Amino acid sequence: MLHSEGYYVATHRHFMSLIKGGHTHYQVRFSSRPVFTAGDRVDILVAFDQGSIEHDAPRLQAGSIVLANQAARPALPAGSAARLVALDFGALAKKAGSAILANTVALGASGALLGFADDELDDQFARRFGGKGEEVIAQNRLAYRLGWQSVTGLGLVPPAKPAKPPTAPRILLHGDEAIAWGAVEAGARLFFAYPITPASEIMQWLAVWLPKLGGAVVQAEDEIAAINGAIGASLAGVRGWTATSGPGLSLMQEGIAIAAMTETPVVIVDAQRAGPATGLPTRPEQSDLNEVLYGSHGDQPRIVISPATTADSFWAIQAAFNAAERYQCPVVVLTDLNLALDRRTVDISAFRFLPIARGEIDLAPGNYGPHEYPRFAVTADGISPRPLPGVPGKTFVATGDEHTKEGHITEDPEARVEQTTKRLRKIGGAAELSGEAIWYTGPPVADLVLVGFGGTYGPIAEAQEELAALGYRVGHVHLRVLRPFPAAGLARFLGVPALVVEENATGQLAGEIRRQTGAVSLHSVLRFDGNPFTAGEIVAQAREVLEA
Amino acid sequence: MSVSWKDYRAQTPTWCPGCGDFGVLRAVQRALVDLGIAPHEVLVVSGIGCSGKLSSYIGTYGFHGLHGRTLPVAQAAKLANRNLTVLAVGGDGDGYGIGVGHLVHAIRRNVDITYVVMNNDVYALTVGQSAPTTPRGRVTRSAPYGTPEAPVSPLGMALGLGAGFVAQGFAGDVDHLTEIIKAAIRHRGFALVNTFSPCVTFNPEFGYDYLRGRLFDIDSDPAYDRHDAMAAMRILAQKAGLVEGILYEDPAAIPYDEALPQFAKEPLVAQVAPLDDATRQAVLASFGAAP
Repeated sequence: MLHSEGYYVATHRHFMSLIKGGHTHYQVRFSSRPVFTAGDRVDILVAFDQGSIEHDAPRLQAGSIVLANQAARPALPAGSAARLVALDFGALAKKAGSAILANTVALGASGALLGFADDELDDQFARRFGGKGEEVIAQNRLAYRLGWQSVTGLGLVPPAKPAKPPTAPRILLHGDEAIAWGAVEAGARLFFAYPITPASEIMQWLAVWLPKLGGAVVQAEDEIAAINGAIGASLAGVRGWTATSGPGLSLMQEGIAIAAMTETPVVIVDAQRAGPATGLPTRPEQSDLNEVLYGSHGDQPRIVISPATTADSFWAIQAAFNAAERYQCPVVVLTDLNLALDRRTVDISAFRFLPIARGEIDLAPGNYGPHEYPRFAVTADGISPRPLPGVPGKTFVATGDEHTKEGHITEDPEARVEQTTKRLRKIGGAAELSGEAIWYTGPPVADLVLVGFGGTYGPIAEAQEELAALGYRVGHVHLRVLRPFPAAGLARFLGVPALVVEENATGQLAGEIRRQTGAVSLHSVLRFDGNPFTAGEIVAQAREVLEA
Repeated sequence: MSVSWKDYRAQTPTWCPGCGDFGVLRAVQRALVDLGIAPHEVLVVSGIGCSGKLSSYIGTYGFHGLHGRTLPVAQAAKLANRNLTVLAVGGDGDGYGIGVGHLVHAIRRNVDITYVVMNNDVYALTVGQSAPTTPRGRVTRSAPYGTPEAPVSPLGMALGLGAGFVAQGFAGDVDHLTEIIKAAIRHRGFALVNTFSPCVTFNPEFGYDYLRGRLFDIDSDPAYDRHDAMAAMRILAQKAGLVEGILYEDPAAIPYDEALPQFAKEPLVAQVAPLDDATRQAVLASFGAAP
């Protein structure tokens, strides 16, 4: 509703690894300008149980309104300045036709507080429930109205809505959807994956759209099959890719090695969640970083792109396909749970479309005898032209054993060194990515820089703004390419103390920065309790460092 | 364009003299020549072990991948370019040990590929440990007191899973094996060809002499109905698995991609392109494009 009205919306879904029960909530923030987090405060809370009130009580303030389920005998904690309104969601829902309509009743109540009309969603209900028949549509319409009426006339004064932003074409989507859309724009028509939170939404989106494009989602039997499928597809000449989270990425490590050794392009999306093992499967964390940078065996070339925002995810997947085919190696797109699953309003103009660049694919027929074509020719830049199966006169075998330039298995020391160094020098500085590696926001001279990667972009950006408003000179350095690591570019910002912001317990990014740049003046703020950072806690840590 | 055996000859094999894999290689080469398929139109995906070297010895495109992972690679390559003839080849350790999970799902998925397993009842390249096919009680380097597990029954398993084409051949009978592999390639859907491919070095007692005369040739039995899965199960039980020929074929099997009504008729490899404008607008609308 707010998105359609023209606001920038950012949502956050807090859920547990359960089908029924447990605490769950959906948070919606709206603003006159783009927002990348669901914010730290709650103006209107809809609570179906007392637990929800207690969970969010610290974020309520004077003027906040709590619409609570009367049946739960709701009460505000002592000292709360919020206003509690008890509503009989259940009775109103039954009046509309069924107890299951309580959500719609609550939607009507909050819609009224936000200034929407009592028939605001009539069309939406018709679209959404069209398949369930007229009765369901009518019941939802009535439930919305009953909720709407239940708060109208109570004299509630909700916090004022912000001014509407200038009109511009905008869409509402999450990072997984941006990646899936970006992949089909990049020409990918086959997708191999095994379901896992928070990457499954990529598969689900593609399952709807790929058939319309003549392609298919192949639901693999496990992540090992998924990555080997992506490699096989790529070998045959399409853009092969898969998406997973930490546990699946661990199963893919051997597959990453065969792609690297056979110089077969492959793109792997790792939407991180809290580990190790099953960890907190529905909660955010950025603790796969070391695995992504250092996982798998042997010496391998690799590219890692880490988008910061929803629109950036769209860019990252396209850049990943282009890089995988240019450098004929594995490319990881590293995201995390909040970026993957939280829907946000984005200006359509913010989406960058990259031309499809397929690197050195060699489709010209040749006259080589069987397995005489130098598929792994040692070239100056290490990149060897790649025929696709089907091209006459250029047959070759891509083998995971060390091989000659013709792909013949060998243990010859000279060939070993030649091929290993060729594979490792291919990426070089990845010129087209090095200019994208770092986003910097802040004053030209700062007293402190906040450093992060991936989905912490929102809270860090907000923290930086708050600190600037408080008069501090603080910059925000966001790393978007982690392999090749932009050591020189980053070092330029590290002449002042840095506060590295990351969602893990061991400071994996801080460790990587130390290894790569030798920086010493690094501080860390870590969060690994299963919840995303808030701007407030970053501000507090930054002030401690600044005032130390 | 006529195709000859020479077009299919590539690197020189390093198998032991007398290895069953020579017979399998020859049968695969002859089958492809007989079918008139040019080597560049074929992709052979091989696993790890002595048998995994086969992709280096046949002049087609090849992928010598990870241990046990031939089937995911082969299925995906076929979906990417349905004009290719795709074969997966590997040993019994590859297919029935480390990679058996993929076999189960390749059968369910029914992508149009041919899987030739070179079964020698032993892990040979790692010099003689027990395989999933090793009979219970046999002494090997990894089981000096006798292999404790029962062997897998790959054909019974495949039939139980509803495979559309199940056959067994013998490296010592290349003529027959060639015909079996030709039928497997022609079959529309996933085809499993288990071959007895003796290891003369680490498992000589289960060799040519042992097998010759013990295999019951079902293809020469006019009474045998290869469209009857129950008959296939019965003969496997009666002959303790020692049969040779096409055990079962479902001529009505529909390959994975043909069962997807919207799957592109032209190979996807020729269709790497961005969205057309109408589709892009539909995508934006699905994301609630406003205003």
